[in-house]
Amino acid sequence: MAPLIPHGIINPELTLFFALIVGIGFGYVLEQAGFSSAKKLAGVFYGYDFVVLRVFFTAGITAMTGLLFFNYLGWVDMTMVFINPTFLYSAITGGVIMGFGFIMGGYCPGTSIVAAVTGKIDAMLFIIGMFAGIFLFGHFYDLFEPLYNSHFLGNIFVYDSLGMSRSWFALILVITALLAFAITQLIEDKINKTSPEKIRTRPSYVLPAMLLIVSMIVFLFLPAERKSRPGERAPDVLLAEIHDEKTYVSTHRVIHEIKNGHNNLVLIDVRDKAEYDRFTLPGAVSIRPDAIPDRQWRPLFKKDQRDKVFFGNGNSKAVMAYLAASRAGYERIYLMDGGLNAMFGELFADEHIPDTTAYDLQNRSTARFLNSARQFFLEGGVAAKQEEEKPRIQAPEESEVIPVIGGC
Amino acid sequence: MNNQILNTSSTLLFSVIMLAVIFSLLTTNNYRQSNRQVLEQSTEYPSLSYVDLYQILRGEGMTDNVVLIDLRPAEDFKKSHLPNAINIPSEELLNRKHRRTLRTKKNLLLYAGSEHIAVAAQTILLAKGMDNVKAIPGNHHGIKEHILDGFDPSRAYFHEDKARWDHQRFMPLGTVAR
Amino acid sequence: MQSSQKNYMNPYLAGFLLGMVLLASFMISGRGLGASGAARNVAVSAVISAMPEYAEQSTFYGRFLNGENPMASWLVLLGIGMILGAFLSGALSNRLRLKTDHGPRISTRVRLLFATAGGLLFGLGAQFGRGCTSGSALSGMAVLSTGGMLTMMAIFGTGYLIAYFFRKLWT
Repeated sequence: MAPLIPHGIINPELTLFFALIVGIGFGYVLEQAGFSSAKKLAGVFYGYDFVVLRVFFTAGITAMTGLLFFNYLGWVDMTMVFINPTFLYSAITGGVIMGFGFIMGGYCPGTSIVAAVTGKIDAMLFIIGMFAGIFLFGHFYDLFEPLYNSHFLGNIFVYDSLGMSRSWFALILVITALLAFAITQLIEDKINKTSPEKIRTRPSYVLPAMLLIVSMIVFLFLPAERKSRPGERAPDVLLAEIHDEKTYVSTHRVIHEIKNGHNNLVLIDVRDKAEYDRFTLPGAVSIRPDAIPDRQWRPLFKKDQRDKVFFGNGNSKAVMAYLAASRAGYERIYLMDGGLNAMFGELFADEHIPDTTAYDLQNRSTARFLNSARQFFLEGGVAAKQEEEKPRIQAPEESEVIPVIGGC
Repeated sequence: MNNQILNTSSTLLFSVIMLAVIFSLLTTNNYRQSNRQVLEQSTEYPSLSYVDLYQILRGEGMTDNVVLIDLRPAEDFKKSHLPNAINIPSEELLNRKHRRTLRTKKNLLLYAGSEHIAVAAQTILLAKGMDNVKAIPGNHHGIKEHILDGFDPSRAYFHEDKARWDHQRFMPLGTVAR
Repeated sequence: MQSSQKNYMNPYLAGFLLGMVLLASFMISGRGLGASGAARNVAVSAVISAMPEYAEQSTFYGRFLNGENPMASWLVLLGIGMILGAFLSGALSNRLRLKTDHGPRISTRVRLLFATAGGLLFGLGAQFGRGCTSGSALSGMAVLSTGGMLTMMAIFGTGYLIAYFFRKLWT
């Protein structure tokens, strides 16, 4: 699931390599579009060449449509995507200053790089000016800071600011862009006095425009949030698992593993944190049921090949955790049958320990096992092991993917 | 030429996305609540106390508004069950034939041979978009003994996920890690 | 020579491809495209290495002192990639030559003066806008961020408002 690098699907060490690849694509397309000519760029303000508007809006709505659908399909996790933060006045001030810069300089930073590479001397000077502007900002930062950081509204979305639904806003944006394409074409033809001959032979863009509108209308009818995620297990499978005894791990097996210091199980304590802090089984990790779908636990469930065993005081909270994990598609998950109540009830309430004198091999070996387990627990085996094995699994830190100082 | 590339590639992208959307709509599990939403609701556990249940079983309060569902196998149900309970064996919870019983505006109170089956059934029904299901704490035996055969006030707020002991006391003093 | 230059790409196709690049950027790294960020990081590391005392005293440069090397970042590598990509494209389309673009009514010197001034304003404005036309406006539009859309409208709105006064530069 994308984004690939923050999710660890692509090795983060390759980040810079992919940055280079994406950059090459970016530079190539900008140059091919004709953005290396200031005259062409400035044309958008005087009506003789609307190439900037066309490329810019086509790119914007294409990427937006892609992201909307990819998010719906669960291919991209929008919570991991950088959403430009909104600092109200700083954004507007910056835009106004850049508007002046655009008219006077004829470039924007991206296009100036492209133009300078292809040999435009004005673009090279534009870049020098740009550095001067950055130094200026850096030098007087303390002066600018109040404006720069004022009115922070969060990483908000424009449809929320306008109070409309995301899908309606996207549809309106797409239609606006398409109308703008048509109208600016008319203006451009009028200003440049394009010959009717040329207009007639111009290719038609009806197909891509229709595809865009259709996909936005489809998006309108899709539910805003998908309740079922891809890769989830079906409800009847969950129901069958609950009735399957293979789902349950006996307390005896857990005791056995603890006693022998095996590292074959990942014990997951689903009780409240306070209870966990007071006492837990050796090496157990604390995950409350409602934290099961959290991203930070994904590697544990997805990558750890050991069996994961949920336990609580009884079965009820463990079953909630089990169902959440199973629905999320996690494998190798089990429930410790009866929970801690059953485990200690059996160990320490005498009536559960079978009579060792009876002539019954099964009973006798069980009794011997439970007796030795009791001894082990009372001698502090659990506490000692707890010390040494505690750091076995730790909650991985939420990875910080969203840069505070974003910038373009 | 350029125009044809645009037409072809946008059609291609459009068809890939639309096929994926259709595929995802066809293969969907029909959950009505996301995993997280279900957990938010179900971790308000236990959602019912024996005090409430006692009143309901005695015919006080909102008796008309309640349907008791017995999730045990049919033979157990035949031997004994709570008054007016309807039997839906838990394995058959999602069967088509029980759909009508479950499709009600009344509150469904679930109990089973053991508490976690009722809790699991509640979780699955919540995920299917029902919000009127509650698991009764304890099992059929316990409910019968502590409510029907005489209300036991010490069990008023009983549920099976309570720690039966302070587990820490099984650890010898002084060696406890924390 | 002039005649051997290839035509520019169809703007809608270029936009579509740019959209794909932007989408790829989001899918790979979770962020959009940008250019001014690269310039900022280069400027910052230049100041840090040339004038360490000055950088330490400044609130602006100080933020970068303890973090990762600003040169080894996504933004800078993106910028280097842009240079390579643009060179590749210019070479393939036979558009690599030294020249200055300017309107018919001004001299090259005036054009260069205004280009520098425009660059200065853009460098300054991009800091306030937390990104330039690509980083804030384009990427912001793709994720439908309020800040990005505001910056975009401010850039083009201002451009159209003042276009009349600068018409001599271009027409």
